[in-house]
Amino acid sequence: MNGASPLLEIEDLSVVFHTRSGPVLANDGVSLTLRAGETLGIVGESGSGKSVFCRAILGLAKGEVRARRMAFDGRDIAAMSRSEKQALRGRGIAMVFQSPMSSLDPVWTIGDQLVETVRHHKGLDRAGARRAAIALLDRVGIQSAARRLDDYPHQWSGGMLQRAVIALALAGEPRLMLADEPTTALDVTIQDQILALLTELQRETGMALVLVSHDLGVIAETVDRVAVMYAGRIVETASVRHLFERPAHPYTVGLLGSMVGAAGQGERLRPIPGQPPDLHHLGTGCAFAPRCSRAGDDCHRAVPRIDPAAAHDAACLFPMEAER
Amino acid sequence: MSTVAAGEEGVMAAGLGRRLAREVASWSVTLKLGAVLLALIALAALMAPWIAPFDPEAQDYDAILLPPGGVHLFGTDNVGRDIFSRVLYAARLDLSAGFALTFVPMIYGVLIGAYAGYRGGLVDAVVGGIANVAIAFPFLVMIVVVVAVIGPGIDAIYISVFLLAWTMYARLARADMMVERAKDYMLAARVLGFSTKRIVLRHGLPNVVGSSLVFAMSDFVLNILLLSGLSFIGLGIQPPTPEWGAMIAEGKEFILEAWWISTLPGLAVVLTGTALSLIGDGLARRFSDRHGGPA
Amino acid sequence: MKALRYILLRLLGTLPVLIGVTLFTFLAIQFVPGDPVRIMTHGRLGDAEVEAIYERLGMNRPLAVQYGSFLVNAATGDLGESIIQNAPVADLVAEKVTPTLWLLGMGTLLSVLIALPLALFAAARPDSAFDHAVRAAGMLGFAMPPFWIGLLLIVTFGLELGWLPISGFGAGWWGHVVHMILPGLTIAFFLAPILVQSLRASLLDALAADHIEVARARGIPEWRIYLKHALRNALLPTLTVLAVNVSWLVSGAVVIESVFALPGLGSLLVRSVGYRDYPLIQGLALVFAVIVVAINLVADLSYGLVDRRVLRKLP
Repeated sequence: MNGASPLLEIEDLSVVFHTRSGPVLANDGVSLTLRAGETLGIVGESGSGKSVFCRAILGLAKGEVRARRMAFDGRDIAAMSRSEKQALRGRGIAMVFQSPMSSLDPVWTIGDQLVETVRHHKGLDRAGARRAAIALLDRVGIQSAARRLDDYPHQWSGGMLQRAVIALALAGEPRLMLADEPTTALDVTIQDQILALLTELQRETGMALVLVSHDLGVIAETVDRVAVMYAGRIVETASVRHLFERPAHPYTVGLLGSMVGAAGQGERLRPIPGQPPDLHHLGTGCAFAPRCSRAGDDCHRAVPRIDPAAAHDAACLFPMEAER
Repeated sequence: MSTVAAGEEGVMAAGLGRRLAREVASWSVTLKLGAVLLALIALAALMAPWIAPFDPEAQDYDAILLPPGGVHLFGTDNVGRDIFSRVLYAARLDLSAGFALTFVPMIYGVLIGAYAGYRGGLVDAVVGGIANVAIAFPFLVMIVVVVAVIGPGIDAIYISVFLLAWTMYARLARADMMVERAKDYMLAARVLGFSTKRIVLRHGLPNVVGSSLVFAMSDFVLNILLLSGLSFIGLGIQPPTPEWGAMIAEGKEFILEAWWISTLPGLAVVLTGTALSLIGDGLARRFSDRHGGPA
Repeated sequence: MKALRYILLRLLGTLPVLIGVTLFTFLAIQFVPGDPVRIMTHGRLGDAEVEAIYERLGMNRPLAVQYGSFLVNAATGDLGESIIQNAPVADLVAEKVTPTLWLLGMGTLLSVLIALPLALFAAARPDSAFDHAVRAAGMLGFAMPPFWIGLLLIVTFGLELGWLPISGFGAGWWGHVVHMILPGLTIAFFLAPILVQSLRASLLDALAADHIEVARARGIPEWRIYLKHALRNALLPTLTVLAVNVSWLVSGAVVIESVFALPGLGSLLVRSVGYRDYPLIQGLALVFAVIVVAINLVADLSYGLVDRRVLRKLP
C-alpha cells in the first residue's frame, strides 16, 4: 500500500429497492477502495448486486442509495449536485455495459453518438469531433473507421458494437472505467479480444478498471485484485493469486470449485448446493450460511465486517485459512 | 331436498357476490368513476319514459326558445319541444346503437382474429390481408356511399360498420393470439389433444379479449360520434326523432339566441364519452397489471 | 437501392386498399333499388334518352367490364362523368380538393403542435398532477363531437370575440391559413388527445431502453437524452398510431367541412348524396381512399427515414 489517496473510496454503501413486495437490499454495507490505475474484479452470481454497485457509483441506481462515505478522487460523490454528478459521468468515471446490442441508440448512427459524446466532453466543433470520433474507433480496433462512422448500430456485429461502446466510454478520458459483464453477451472468440482490448487500453491510459463478471476465469486473466460479492455484500477481497491459492470464504471456495478448468483433471465440477438467497428476507447473519457446510449457530446471527484496507480478508467466522 | 338446493344456491350467490365485491374493490378510481357515470346515464336512458316530463316530439308554440330552468329543465327549442326530454330519449337511441355498433362486430371480429392467429397459414394471411386493407378505408365515406344507395338512416350505418369494423378487433385478437400460441400452456393443450375449437375458445380467448375490450371503449365513443356526426350532416337519424347529433344540428341556427339547444345535447355526448374513456383507461391499467406491469 | 425498393413496395401495398374501396362502392351502387339513371335524372327523361345515357356511360356492359374500365380510366385520371352536373368528375374533384387538403394539413399540424409539448411534459413527470390533468383533458377532448366543438369555437372566437373567420376558405395563402385555424383546431380536439396518449406511452417505453442508461453513463445531459434519443425512438410508434387514425381524421374532415361551410370534397360528397349523383360518389370514394392511402404512405416513408432498420426488414 502506498500513501497516495485512493481514487475511489466506498464505505458502507447500501442500495435499497422499494418494491411492491417490500424493500429489497441489493447492496448491503459494501466497502471498497481503489487506487489510481488499479484493476479490480468483482465476481458473483447474477443478482448478487454487482451491477447495482456500479450504477450506484455513477449515481444511476434506481433504488435508494446510502453510504457513510463515497468519494471519487477525494471528492464526496454524495454531496455533489446533479450537474456535478453528471459531469463526473464519462469524464471521471465511464461505464461499459453487458449488452452491446442494446447499448446504442438504434435510430442514430454510431458516429452521431460518438460525436455527441466527444463534443459534450471536449467542446469541439463538429469537424473536430468527427476526427476525434474516427480516432477513437481506430483506437478500439475498428477497421476503416472513417467509412464505418456513419453506420447504424444494426449494421454492426456484437463484438464491433462493444468496441464502439468502449470508444464511447473512452471519449471523456475517464480515470476509472467500470465494465459490467462486458463479454457475457458475446461469442467466446470475441470475448478474449474485448478483454485484451480493455487490458491494453487500461495500460495505455493508466486508468483504473473495475471488471464485473460472474466468470472467475474472465476476472483472473484481466485484473490484479478481486472482490467476491454474495447477496449484496462483499464476502472476500484478495489479490487474484491469493484468491486462487488460498480462498478464505466458503462461498469463494464453492465458486472456484464450480469453475471450469479449476477443477483438476478427471474431477467433476462441484456446484454450490442450494439457491441464492431471497434479498427480501435477509437476516443479520451471513447470507451464505444456509448453503454453507461450515456454518455454525453464530453464522446465522452475525457476520464479521470486511476490512477494505486489508490485502486479503473474508467476511467469515470460520474462514478456510484457519485450517492451513 | 329443495331447501338444501336453495341453501347451496344461496352459498353460491354469496360466493359470487363476494367475488364481485372483491373485483370491484380492485378497480382503479377511473374505472369506478366511469362505471358509475355510465350506469347513471344508462339508467336515465332506460327510464326515459318515466323520467321525461314531456313527449320528446310534442311541439308547443307557447313555449318557444325558453331558456333552461323552471318546467323545462334544459329549455325548449324553436318549435317548443322540451330539450331535457329529447336528450333523455336520444340517450336511448345513441347508447343502444353505439352498443350494437361496437360489440356486435367485436364478437365475430375477436373470434375470427383469434382463430386466424391460432391457425396461421392461409387463413391468417387472408384475415390479415383483409384487416390491413379495411383499416385504410375512409369509414365515413363508405357509410355515405351506403346512404346514397339505401337512403339516410341508421341502417346504412349498421351495414357499413358490421361489414368493416370487425377487422380492427380481428387485428388485435390475431396479434395477441400469435403471442399466446407460443406459450407453454397452449402447447400443453395441444399435446393433450384438445380440439382447436376448445383451445381457441376456452384457453386462448380469455387471454386475447382484453385488448379488444379496452379498444371497444374508445370504439364505443367513436361510434356514438359517428352516428351523431352523420345525423348532424343530415345523413343519419332524421328529424323529428331525437338524436344527440341531430339535435345539435337543429340548434345550429339559433346558437346565439338559444345556446342550450345545441350545447346541452353536446354535453350529453361528452359525458357519455368521458364515462366510456374512463372505463377504457381503467381496463387498460387493469389488464397491464394482470400481465405483470412494472413493479 | 434499398430506399427506392421500400417506396415501390409501399406503393404496391396501397393497391389493395384502392381496389377494396372502389369495389365496395361499385358493388354498393349495384344495389340501388330501381333505375339509377332515372333516379339521378329524377324521372324527367324519356326512355330513349335514358337508354342513350346508359349507352354513353357504358352501364349496359357486364359488371366486370364496367368495373375494369372504371379502374383503367381512373388510373389515367378519368373518374367518369357526373350526369347531373354535366361535367367530368375529375374536374369537380379538382375544384374542391384544395380546401380539404388544407384542412387535413392544418388539422394535423395543429394537433402535433399541441400534442408534442403536452406529451413531453407529461412523460417527463409520469403520474404528476400535470400528467393526470393532461390525461383527463384528453379524455374530454376525445369525447367531444368535432361538429359540436366546431360550433362552440365559431360562437366563441368568431361571433363573440370576432377574432377569426367562421366560414369559407378565404383568398390567398394567408387567407387560407386564417380561415383554417378554427377548423384545424376542431380536428386537433380529437386528434391531439390520441397523439398525446400514444406519444406519452412511447416516451416512457423509450426512456426505459438500455441505451438511455448508457447515454446517461457517458454524461449526456438529461434534456438532450430526452429530446434527442427518447423522442426520436418514441416517434415511431406514434407515427403508426397517426396512420391508423387517418381514416378517422378524413371522416372527421367531412363533417367539419359542413360545420365551417368549407367548399371541399366533404361538402361535395354530402351534396352528391342528396342528388344521388352516383358517378360522382364513386369518384369521390376513390379520391378519399387515395388521400388516406397517401397520408399512410407519407407516414410509412417517414418511418423508414426515422428508423433505418425498417429498410432491413424488407422481404
